[in-house]
Amino acid sequence: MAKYFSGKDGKLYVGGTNVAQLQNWSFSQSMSVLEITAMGDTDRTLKPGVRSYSGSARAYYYTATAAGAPNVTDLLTAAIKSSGTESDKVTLKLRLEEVSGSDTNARDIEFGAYVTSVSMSSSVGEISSVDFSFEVDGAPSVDTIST
Amino acid sequence: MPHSFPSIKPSSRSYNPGEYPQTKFEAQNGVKTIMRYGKNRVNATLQLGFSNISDADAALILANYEDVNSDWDYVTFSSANGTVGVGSTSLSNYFKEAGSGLKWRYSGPPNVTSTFKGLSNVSCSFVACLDSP
Repeated sequence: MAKYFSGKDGKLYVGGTNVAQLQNWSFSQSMSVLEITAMGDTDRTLKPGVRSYSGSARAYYYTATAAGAPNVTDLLTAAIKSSGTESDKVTLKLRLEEVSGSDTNARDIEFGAYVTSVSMSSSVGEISSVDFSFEVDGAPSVDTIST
Repeated sequence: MPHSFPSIKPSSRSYNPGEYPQTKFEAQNGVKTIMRYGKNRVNATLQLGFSNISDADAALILANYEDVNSDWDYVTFSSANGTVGVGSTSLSNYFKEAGSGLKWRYSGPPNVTSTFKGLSNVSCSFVACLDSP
């Protein structure tokens, strides 16, 4: 069945746990190139170099129960540490669902990543949100979004 | 027996034609006297840079360095390597030192820098020597 995907179909999993109240996620891939242009060439020639992946996400800060952990606890605890403690790597899975609430034909990309920035704010008249940026460590382990 | 440089195209090239062997004397009154010892220029230099060539090509350059120096021989260049891309035959002949009597030899070992899996940067320096007849 033909289908366009929208924000309604998007999900973000951290360590296998779905992040509730997600507003958006984005993902980008880039690759450096190595120039091999030599004397006598008239056009720039290249070799493929190192690939890199990064992205960001934004979620409302939300607790499902009184005194419960927030929906973004896994991302926050991986990034915010006490002195002398290294940040944790998290397993992120970005998903576009073909069937709502089902794994069937879901388009996933999964990878280990470090949360490289966190931004939170609180304003009168607005729901508090948390912005995350991440950098991927290595290559994606699962990629069904491309195929 | 001259050794041809491997057929690898450089990404940079720098040539200096060298100088004439001479000694300059300058008197206290500023008069200069030049004692010229030969009619041929000597010590021309050539630097070739190779960017992101395959490791196999880098090994060919190292092997050429060993071949040339193991029996104190010299290197020749052609349009397949050192003079590729030169738009003038006259200039190409200078780079090759064709007819000048100078012979290219390595002035130092090639420098190999690994840049990526399977790729290297290599820089080579040559000096052109005038051999005794």
